[in-house]
Amino acid sequence: MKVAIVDDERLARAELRRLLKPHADIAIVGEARNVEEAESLLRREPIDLLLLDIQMPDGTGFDLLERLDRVPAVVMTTAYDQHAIHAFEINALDYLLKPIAPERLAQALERARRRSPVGQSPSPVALDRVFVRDGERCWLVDVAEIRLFEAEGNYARVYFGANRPLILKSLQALEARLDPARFFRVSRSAIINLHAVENVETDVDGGLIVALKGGPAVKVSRRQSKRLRDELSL
Amino acid sequence: MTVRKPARGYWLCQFGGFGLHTLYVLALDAQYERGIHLKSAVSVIGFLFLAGPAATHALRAWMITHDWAELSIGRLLPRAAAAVVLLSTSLALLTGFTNVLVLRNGGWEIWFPQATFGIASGYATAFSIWLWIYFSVQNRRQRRALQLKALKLEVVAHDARLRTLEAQLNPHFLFNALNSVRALVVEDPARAQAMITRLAELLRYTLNANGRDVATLDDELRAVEDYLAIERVRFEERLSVRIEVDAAARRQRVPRMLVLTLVENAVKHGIGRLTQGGTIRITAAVDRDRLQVRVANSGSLAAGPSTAGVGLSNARERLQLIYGDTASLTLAPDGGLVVASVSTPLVERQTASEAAV
Repeated sequence: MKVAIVDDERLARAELRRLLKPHADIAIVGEARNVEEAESLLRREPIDLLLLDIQMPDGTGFDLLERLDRVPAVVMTTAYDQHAIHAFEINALDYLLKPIAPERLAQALERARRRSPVGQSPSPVALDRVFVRDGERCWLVDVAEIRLFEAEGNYARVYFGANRPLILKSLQALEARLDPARFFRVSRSAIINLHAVENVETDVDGGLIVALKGGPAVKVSRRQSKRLRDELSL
Repeated sequence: MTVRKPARGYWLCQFGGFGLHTLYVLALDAQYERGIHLKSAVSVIGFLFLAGPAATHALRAWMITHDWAELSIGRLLPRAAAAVVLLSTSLALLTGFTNVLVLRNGGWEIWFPQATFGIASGYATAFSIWLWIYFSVQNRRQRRALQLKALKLEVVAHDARLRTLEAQLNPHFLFNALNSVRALVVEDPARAQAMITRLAELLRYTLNANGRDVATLDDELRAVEDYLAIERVRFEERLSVRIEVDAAARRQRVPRMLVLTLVENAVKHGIGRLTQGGTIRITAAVDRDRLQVRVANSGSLAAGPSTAGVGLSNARERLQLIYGDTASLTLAPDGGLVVASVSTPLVERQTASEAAV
């Protein structure tokens, strides 16, 4: 497993490296001292597992996750901020308390291995999981669970389950990263998940209206309507 | 309720009061009868000077056993009036009978009904005044007791509030320090040992081992140096420190952990947020009759409410509780620095508890 360590303290990074040494399948491919360094490291290197500190000089570990296009398996490392992790809606993030007990680290690594099986290294381009934060609430959402991205200024509103928080990403950027076999740009302001389509109706002007499972219904532009008909072979 | 032993001065007031009344009546009699008559004098002395205090003392016992002090005015007044009428009438009748039958001091027609009625109203006036004085004294005593109780409660609340405001080491700091020490054990054992010693000294100080909530600035700065030495292990080249405090300032007293709280804030919200790190500069001086302490750090004030506010507002409230309005704590930007300034009056004299140590 390819691992990156993000922590602003040199000694904390050294300690983690030492703790990881007995795990033969772990390759430490990079270290970063702050959010900015971590972001560029993650853009350069395909990473399976991120060991991530919460408090850093230029932001928190959550700020980093929010900026990533593709979120790898994450284990947060913290001295005392476990309450911040408990705020998560889905317990997708593991955490370790510093000083880290070797047995706890072994458990966390085992969980991460199950999450990203070896040999199935994810492609660095496809977006498969996004980190979403809405005030106090956080989610690590599988992209497959998202039925709709809706443009709202520079933000995109993400519809999944009963939630519809905003993320700071443009539809253009999202479209480039999403799996085209599953996601379809229906208009300038919406991308839908084709697997979430409940039914399709024809509008008075000849365009289409797509009703999504769990709502809402979105209008398809006329130009895209033709392509969508082909896609859904209507 | 059991009848208490009367307060000091009670009998003096009893016999003093009724004694004056007796002299007054004797004087009146003497004027009226042109000279002192032995029998009249015996009657007046017996029934006023002796029976007066005895009757009111019995009344006092009755009032105490029947909890008159707890009665509302509306329920007390009729009872008091009834007691006055009953006591006055019976004593007046007794006076009349005794004079006619025992002392042979004139016949029935002299004593009944006019003289007896006059005596009864004299008694009534005396007993009313007696009751009025009695309840005034009682009332005053109760009010004093209540005030004292309120004052004690206030002191207790004040102490409790101070205790909750007393700063404690941030657990985040403590666990990070332990993590760094563990890494140092392998990398640089000698330095790890030194760091553990520092940590022990700091813990001892913050756990307030000698039970005092004030410290000399010198002791406080020693704890600050321990704290910063530990943080320098974590932050390495990102944290530099300058402390400039003269001996006169070091002798002054400060609330324990006050400067440490400011320095912790400066590290956490100042240096901790700077990728390149920065400097913390601590200065203190005695300025006329005040102690001025400044903690400056590189960086800028974070906009909006932050957790920095909690430690700081606690420190501010603590200063207010200790010094009233004579101390101040401010946090302000100053040309690329953030400066926390504390100003307190000099504590010239040791408090009794300190002197005893």
